[in-house]
Amino acid sequence: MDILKVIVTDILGDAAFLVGLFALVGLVLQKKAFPDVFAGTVKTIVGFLIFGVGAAAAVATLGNFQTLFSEGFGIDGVLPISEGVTALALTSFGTQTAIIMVIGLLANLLVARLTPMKYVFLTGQHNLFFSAILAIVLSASGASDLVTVVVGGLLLGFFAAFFPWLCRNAMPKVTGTDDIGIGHYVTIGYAFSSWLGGKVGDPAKSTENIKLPKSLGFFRDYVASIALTMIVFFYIATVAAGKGVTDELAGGTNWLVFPLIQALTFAAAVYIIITGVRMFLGEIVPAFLGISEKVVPGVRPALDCPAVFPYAPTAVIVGFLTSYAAGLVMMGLYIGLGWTVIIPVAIPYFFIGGTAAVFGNATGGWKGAVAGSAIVGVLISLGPQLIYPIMDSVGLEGSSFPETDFTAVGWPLYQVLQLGTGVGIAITFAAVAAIAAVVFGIDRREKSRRAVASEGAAQ
Amino acid sequence: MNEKLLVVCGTGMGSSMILKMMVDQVVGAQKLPFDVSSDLASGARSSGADVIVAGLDLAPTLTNVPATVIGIKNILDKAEIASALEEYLASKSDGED
Repeated sequence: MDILKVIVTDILGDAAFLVGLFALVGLVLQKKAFPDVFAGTVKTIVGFLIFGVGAAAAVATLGNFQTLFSEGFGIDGVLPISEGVTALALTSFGTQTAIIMVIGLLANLLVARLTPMKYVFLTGQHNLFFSAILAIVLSASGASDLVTVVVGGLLLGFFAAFFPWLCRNAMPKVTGTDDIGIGHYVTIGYAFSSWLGGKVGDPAKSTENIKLPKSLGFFRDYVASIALTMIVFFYIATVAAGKGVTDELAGGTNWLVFPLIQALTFAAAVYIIITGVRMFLGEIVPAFLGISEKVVPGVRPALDCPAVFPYAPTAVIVGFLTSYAAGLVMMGLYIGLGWTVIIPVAIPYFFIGGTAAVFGNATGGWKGAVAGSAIVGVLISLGPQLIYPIMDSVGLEGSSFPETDFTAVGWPLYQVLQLGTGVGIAITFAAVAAIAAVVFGIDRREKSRRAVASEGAAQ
Repeated sequence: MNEKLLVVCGTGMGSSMILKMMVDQVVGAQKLPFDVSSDLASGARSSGADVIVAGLDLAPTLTNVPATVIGIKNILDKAEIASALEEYLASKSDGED
């Protein structure tokens, strides 16, 4: 049965073909015309393959950076950027990640339909990153492939509805409406920032009354921003390592030109990766939204973080600067303690720190923006520190996940799985059931409070 | 000839994709003369687009782009998108007269 073996291991065992197959089924079920079905399927597969190309380029430069940094400082340096670490993970755990994502999207619809958490998580790349960390954690703990994809998929589906729900009260304070949710897995940070803002400041003293130099908007340019961070830290590592070590890596290139080329190559690699993500998600996200509107009455789309930026553009810049400063302080702390050094890459700090500040500003003005983004800046440095040993244990060196929600799920999941796969999964599902029970309880209380309030208003 | 409309956001992966879906729906429903695509903001200058749609925060930073830039506050608000596109088309036909 050679042909069966080819189908099972070489086609279905290949993550790119597998997601292509899912896209194909999805497009056929939507009764699309043949050219759309063909183009959609091919683009999904090609998008996934583009990841692999970007990942290979990113691995090479990350490896060089690691060598230079550890030779220069005697400790490991880690550049946490989810696009990078996910692309690395897809080379080893591609199939598991792809299946987790598909099961997770379906489970998200089910959870949104059956529980008060009416959110569908539309930020496709974040679902992909979450799938990757679940695949890594479960596989690293010795779970079988079947257990990995089923447990990973169900967890993704649950948390894809739960995390936006966590910000159900914080989000309307930003946007003024409660029909959209935040679809960015730093919701623990954003909910905290929103709460903290209310404690420390006054929403009337908004960041939007402050004038900041326009040039700071430079950091929102993805390519330029990554390139700048990488150039700075590559040169620091190169100078620390010295000419001898660098010459060995550079293969004839001048040792002071080498870090520049490497830094820009990394920016190019990440650009390739996000191009792949875009092509891969271009079919999946619209289909997912279309299906969710049909099967989940009262559905609330959870959107990527820049959706809140127009409500407080200055807060975004304030949050980037504050959280980045917090990231640099944490880096100094790690160097002092001799721990793995988590190096602040500008891009996650821009998007995450910026969003935290928008939430903090909505409840506490500029003080809330600064306080919230400072705390979140610390959290997104501690998170990758906590989970880096898990990444390292499966050979994913040099990068990690900054997002708080990935740490909040991935780290405890890894710990309980060390007690044994069966016990760990039992504890995990018990914890999920407990969270769900709390959600139902809170929802009932909030609904009755709203009912009382509207009755009071009517009288 | 349709106008080339490009939707952008910071990374080109998340909010621009949602905004593009909304623009697609508006363009489809009202049969407006636009070909819609999406990208990250870094690619805006070399895109050759006639009109660029972005979040209201990002739009003012796209200064050296040879296209009309439209900022949208609520990226799910189809009415806001529709009136912005209609305003653009009206201003364009004014220019030609």
